[in-house]
Amino acid sequence: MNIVQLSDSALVTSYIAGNESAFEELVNRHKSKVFTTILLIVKDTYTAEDLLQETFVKAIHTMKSGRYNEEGKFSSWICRIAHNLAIDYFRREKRSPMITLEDGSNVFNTLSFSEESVESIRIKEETHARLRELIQLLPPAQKEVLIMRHYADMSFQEIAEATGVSINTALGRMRYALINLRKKMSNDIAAYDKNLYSE
Amino acid sequence: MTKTFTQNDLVQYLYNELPRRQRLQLEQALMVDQELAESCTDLLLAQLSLDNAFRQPSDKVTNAIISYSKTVSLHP
Repeated sequence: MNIVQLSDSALVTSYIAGNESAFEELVNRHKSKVFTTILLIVKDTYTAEDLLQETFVKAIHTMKSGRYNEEGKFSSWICRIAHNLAIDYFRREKRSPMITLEDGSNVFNTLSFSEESVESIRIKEETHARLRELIQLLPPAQKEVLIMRHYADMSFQEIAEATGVSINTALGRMRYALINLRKKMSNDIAAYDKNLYSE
Repeated sequence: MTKTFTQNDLVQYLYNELPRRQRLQLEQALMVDQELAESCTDLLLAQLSLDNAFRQPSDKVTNAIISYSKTVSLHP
């Protein structure tokens, strides 16, 4: 069977048995999710890349030393490592680090459709950057659940346990996060239209 | 009797965490309950937009991780 068709669980087993290609597939499959989870917490591209490496180094050591516990999903496990490292970093810093989201990025790094026009790439990247800013504006408890569920792929039960709240509270926070985000995006569009037609 | 669904049920539904039986009941309810369907659409649109925030790390970092793995040989 082609390696890209294998489940995460089968890839982990193959990697532990010595197949490095299986690890490469796991990295490529989950790097975006893990990276975004970290980035939305630390808000700095370079720090996020350092923590991404640290996350995978921990995962490599755990799997290769036979300590990997095949209980939950691989993606939830690796994202939980990433989330913990990012939170630890954030607490060590004791302040919100300077936002270098866009300065430290390469636009072609984030886009797979290089045949698009430069202008449409720019607009798309600006929209996506604005979305990341709006996520940062959410109340901390809502932002935390949103990152854990949508980007770190943790279940609501896992989030409830990790944050010490009931599953209903975790669900409620996620719901408000989605509603708030939608409102903020609608306000953005309304402001854009107002500017456009007042010219 | 028609089951009443909460907004939290919708969130669980969107993230595929609702048990199968409840999921099927909710899908039935969405066909007849306009208000519930509108709430679900709003949440779904917000959820879909979140995928646009995904970012990729640089190739350099990705390659460094893959290379590092090849240098590690630990045994259980």
